[in-house]
Amino acid sequence: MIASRAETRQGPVVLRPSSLKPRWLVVGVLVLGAAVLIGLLLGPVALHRRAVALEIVNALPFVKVSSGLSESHSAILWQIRMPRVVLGGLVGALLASCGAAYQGVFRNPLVDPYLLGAAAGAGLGITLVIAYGASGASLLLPGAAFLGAIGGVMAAYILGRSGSGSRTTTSLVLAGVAVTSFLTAVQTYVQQRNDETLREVYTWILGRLSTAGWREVLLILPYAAVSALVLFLHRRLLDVISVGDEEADSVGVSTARVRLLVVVAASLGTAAAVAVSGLIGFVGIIVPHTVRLIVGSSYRLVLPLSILFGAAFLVLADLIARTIISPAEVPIGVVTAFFGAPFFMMILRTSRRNS
Amino acid sequence: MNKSRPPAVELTGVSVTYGQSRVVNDVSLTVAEGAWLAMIGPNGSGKTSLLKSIAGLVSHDGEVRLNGESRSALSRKRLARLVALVPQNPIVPEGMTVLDYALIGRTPYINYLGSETGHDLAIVASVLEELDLVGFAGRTVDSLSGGELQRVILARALSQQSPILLLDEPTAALDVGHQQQVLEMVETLRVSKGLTVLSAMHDLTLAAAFAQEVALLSSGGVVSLGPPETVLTEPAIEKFYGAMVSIMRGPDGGLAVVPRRRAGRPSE
Repeated sequence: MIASRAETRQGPVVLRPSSLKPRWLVVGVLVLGAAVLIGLLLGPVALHRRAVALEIVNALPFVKVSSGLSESHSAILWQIRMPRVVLGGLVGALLASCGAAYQGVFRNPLVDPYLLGAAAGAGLGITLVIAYGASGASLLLPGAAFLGAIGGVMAAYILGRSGSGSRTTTSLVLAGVAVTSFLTAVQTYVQQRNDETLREVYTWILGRLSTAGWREVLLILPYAAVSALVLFLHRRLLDVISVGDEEADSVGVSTARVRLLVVVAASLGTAAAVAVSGLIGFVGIIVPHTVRLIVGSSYRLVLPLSILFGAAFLVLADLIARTIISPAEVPIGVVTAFFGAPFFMMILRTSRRNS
Repeated sequence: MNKSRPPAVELTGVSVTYGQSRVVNDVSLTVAEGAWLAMIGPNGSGKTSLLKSIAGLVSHDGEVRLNGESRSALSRKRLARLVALVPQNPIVPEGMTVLDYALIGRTPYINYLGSETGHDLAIVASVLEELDLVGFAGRTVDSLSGGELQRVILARALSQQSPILLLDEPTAALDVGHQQQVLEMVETLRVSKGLTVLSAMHDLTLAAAFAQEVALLSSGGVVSLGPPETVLTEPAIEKFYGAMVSIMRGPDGGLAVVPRRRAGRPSE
């Protein structure tokens, strides 16, 4: 054959499976580093670049340098901006990687924690704890959010499958919308019935990182770590599942078990994010799809890079939220929806064209 | 053939039921190691369900033995090392490269959370070479033509290195040239690697040309089993397909099943 002869003349073809190349990891870390730095520098009080850099170096073990930052500025850096940036990064990483995982496990490019009912379920769980829980019940928040998130996803999945009988991408999304509306209705009812906690619930729902402190960071860190680790470890199996359930079963994978594990881990991550930041939509759509456009569709790349770029994206979105009408703040969910909704339409168009 | 070896595939009283309807009804048959059995029959006769029951993808009554071992005693992984399936309408994942797709066939040899080794890559490379796909390795599967895609799906199945290959309508979407090309590839591999092949097929002429044995299914049961000459008869095709055909001998002695026009039908 002509084609194969041409190849042999060029020498052997090198076969390289998709894998995370160091180049992309470096780019991801640099982008995240830049986002964090900008997030720390900008705000109502201007901090000097050099001083912030020295403060960070000083915080490293075994290093002692003087940054020349005043005590109040140092407090702004370490007690206000730093926890907020770190928490934004954690929430962004979680929402983006959970979005990617849901998309993989349901083979549906349009789902994300927000659209699938996971976030609304977590929201209901949290509202119930705030409304009916004892005053010291805030430690229950992640657990209640988790139960709500799992319930929401399961309901959407079962509804989406039984509703149309077919496995179209839109039936799952529609089921997610229905579940989200229902859970939000229940949540609003509970919220209105308990008007003494109305303000607290409402502030939280709008989705904001303004109350962020190190306490919130520590609260979600264990959940975030477990969720991200489980999802990261399943990156190759998400590729296997993308060829179909029966095909995955026929190469020796228990598709049902992988799906359950990934959904539980992603719902845990979503719940942790929602517990500290409220409802922030579209991060799980924008970030994984942008990563796919750049590096291809293999989850070996999409998952780890979604963690890095998701963190960077939310740090920057929060920066916009707190500076654009400074000294007031826009809820961060408004910023992500502003960019996310048009992006979602774009993906809907391309996935329609392909199916 | 070595008489002491157990048959590659042995079905005893296999039935598959979906809800109220029984789609495979009490099928018993054996396929010798290294043989090619073609399953034919009209739409809905149970060919696909029978293949899935062998691959362990549907629950069924009766027993399936593979190389003498009961399939129900095999773990999913061991089963995947024994049986590879080429499905009829596989999902074509957008953006996945041909190499990544073929590498999925190595899954039964990779730990749950592990990743493939150089050995796995070498096996996939030789399979791609065999199927003349090396030049396609970096292409995405959704950019391929029907014939190319069918070869890539075959490459994934062959990467499993399973001695038993199940093909569900492997040529349904292909033109006549690519039909021949794919089946000839399977035949070459069957001979060189001693594969046992079971294929569900619609094209009766191709079934007769490539399979040593043909099983005719109707309403979930095997109604006729044997060499193509004995199964493919004009009355049988008329009875079970409701089709009028002529069965002729080609210049090479092979059977050709040619559809004919029924007499008495209006000519315009």
